[in-house]
Amino acid sequence: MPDNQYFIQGILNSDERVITEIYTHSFPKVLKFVLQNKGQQVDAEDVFQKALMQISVRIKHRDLETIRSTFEAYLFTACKNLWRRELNKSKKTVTNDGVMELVSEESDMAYALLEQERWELFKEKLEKLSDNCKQIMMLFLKKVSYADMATQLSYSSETVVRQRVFKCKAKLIASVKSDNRFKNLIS
Amino acid sequence: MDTNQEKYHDQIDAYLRDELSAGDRALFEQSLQNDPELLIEFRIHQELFVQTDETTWINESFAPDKKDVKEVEAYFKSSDAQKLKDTIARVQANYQKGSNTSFLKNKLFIPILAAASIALFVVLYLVDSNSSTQDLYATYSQWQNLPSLTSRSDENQLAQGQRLFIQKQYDKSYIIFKNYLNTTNEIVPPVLIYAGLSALELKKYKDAISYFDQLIASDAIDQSKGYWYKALVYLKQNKKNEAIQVLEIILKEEQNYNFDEANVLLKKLQ
Repeated sequence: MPDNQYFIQGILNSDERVITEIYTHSFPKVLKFVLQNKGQQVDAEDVFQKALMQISVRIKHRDLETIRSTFEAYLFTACKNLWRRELNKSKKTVTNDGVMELVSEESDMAYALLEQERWELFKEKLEKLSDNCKQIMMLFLKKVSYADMATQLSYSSETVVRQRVFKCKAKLIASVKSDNRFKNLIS
Repeated sequence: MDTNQEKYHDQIDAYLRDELSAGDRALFEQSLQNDPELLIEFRIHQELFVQTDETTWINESFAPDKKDVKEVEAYFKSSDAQKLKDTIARVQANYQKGSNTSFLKNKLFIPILAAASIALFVVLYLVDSNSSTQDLYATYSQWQNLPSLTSRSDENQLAQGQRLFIQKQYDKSYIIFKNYLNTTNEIVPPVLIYAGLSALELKKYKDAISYFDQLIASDAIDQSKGYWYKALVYLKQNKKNEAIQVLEIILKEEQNYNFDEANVLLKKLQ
């Protein structure tokens, strides 16, 4: 596989050959994911196109920092997030009796992009925790009971686990809040 | 972090981890509306939970900076973006044409291709359905929230069995639970669960089903757990239809164990 820079440059230049490579390589996986999650071929195509557009605007205007994983993995995550965003939108349309604010496609894509940045910020901070804190936070976020956490992580009691959760979470949230990006993502 | 925040966090955690009763949930939702500081903390927590829950996405939690929105929106409307969009559309169209027709031009290939694609379809279908039930099984077989056997003070061997089970030494835990059940006339629901799950992990599916059937037939309060675990036995064996049938039984009564999960799982299977 060529390196990330090759794909990024290809997107920036709207290079048909590179985009075809990306397509051939990554689209089947995205298609499979969307089909398995209540979507259809057109949805997969839509999400794929939007993800590529999103990456391009982030490189050009939002100083997308170096993609930490491979380009392919990054693109797949972006597609996955766009698709679950769509799914949650349609859930809401149903519950609100079809009352949805009408927004232009571009505006919706802008929101999706900023939400993706927010998601990445939280992910990055979670990954920066110590291994122990990360492990605890993952179990906590997956709603594992405190008693089970104590057993799995060999802590003496639930109280100890609760204290650990509290400390790790406080650290995590403090690091999110102190990040400059966070201040721009809320207003 | 001050004590105020500490109190916030306890409430928020309990709410997002589904530990509150319906009444307390409503109370909490009310205080969210009246307390902007609580709301901010809550939204940060919500974002954290999204990290591990692939089914949710928070669209409306924080309003991003309006200037940022406008800026990004302007780019999406620019001619640059339009050019990229057109290129992608062309690639997409070519890609589809390619996957639909390239081989068909040669007539000789058609029968071979037809046979091959049927074979491939069968293989893909099998592999695919196989991996998806297995994925689902993996998601639901974390064996959390199992009853604890250590409280049964006189029965050291059960505590030992539970330890072995947690350590995934299923062959050993299975022997302990099996022997225990063979030597007692009593129906002990938690032991039936452990025996059944040990058997399941050892791929002794018939035995597993028989333990869960005993649980279902009992008058224990958590009798309905038997259905859930039985569904998982079928799931692990890729017996989709059988799994669906059992899940449908769970959905007949809202009090049944893992009613919501059964609902989700059923939808994924269908």
